[in-house]
Amino acid sequence: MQGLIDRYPDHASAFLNVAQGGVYNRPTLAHTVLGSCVSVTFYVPARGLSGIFHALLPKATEYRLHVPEATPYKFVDTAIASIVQRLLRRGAALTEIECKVFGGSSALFAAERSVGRRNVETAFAVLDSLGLRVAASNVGGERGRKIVFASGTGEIFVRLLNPSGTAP
Amino acid sequence: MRRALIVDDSRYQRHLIIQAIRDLFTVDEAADGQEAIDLFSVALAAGTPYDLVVMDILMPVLSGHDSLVGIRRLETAAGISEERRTPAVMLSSLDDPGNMMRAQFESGAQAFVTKPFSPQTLIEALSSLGLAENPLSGEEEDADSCKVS
Repeated sequence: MQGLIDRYPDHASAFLNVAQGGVYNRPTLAHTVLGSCVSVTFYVPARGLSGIFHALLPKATEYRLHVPEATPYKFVDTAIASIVQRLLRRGAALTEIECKVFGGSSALFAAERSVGRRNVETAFAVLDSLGLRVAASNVGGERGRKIVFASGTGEIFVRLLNPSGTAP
Repeated sequence: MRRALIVDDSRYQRHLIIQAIRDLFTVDEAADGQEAIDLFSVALAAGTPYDLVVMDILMPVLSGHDSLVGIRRLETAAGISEERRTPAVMLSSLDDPGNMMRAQFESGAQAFVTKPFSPQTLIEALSSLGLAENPLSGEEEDADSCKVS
């Protein structure tokens, strides 16, 4: 991480926990660690805007007690809706937004095995329904990922983790 | 230098891919999915497997999905474990959810890049697979990295 901080001295640094996300209009190195969770990055170079979230579960409607307004970034579908809405409010057009999708690996425990896949399915489906282009994705598999998003350039850096959570 | 197998029925697209990765790989080219399996099989038999496969989806003779499944079968038959398989990037204009899911959850690709693509996006995909410079590799784990979720 220090290497990237040195490489992008004009970028602030922000770590995203689960159910966190945001829109940036200042250069930021947003970084997080994903297992079955999913992150989508949004980059609008023409407007100097970008966004990213770290969502835990696919759809808010599957959890009746959940109040999307309280934690929009907990679920993939409400996280995408929230970020896209904020980008549009700031003048971005849907056709200007470039998206990339990461995460969704299989967990070690059988009960969680399908969550990663469903998170990715939901991300692709919601982005497609909005007409947003997915420029690249790096999803699935059995290993977690550390990702760093340079919001000022749209660049993404990904490192696969060993199953124990350490680097290969 | 590492070796890559570039599979696309468009000579122009193969040219664009080669331009993007020429500093990192020497390249063999295939124009359809069956030709890719044949070249991969020969390389495997010679003990010089490819370090990377870049695969289109919509091609004559055999699709990219079916070709990659065939390549994974060759690797399994050769006793190559999942961890040691040749990394594959699906590079296609078929960017609907079904094709992106199938590529990475069933066909055996580790990443998907949508056409038209920028060289930077393809290099990012290769970096995530350990096949291009990655500023995150080799760094010591920090506390954040242990909180996989």
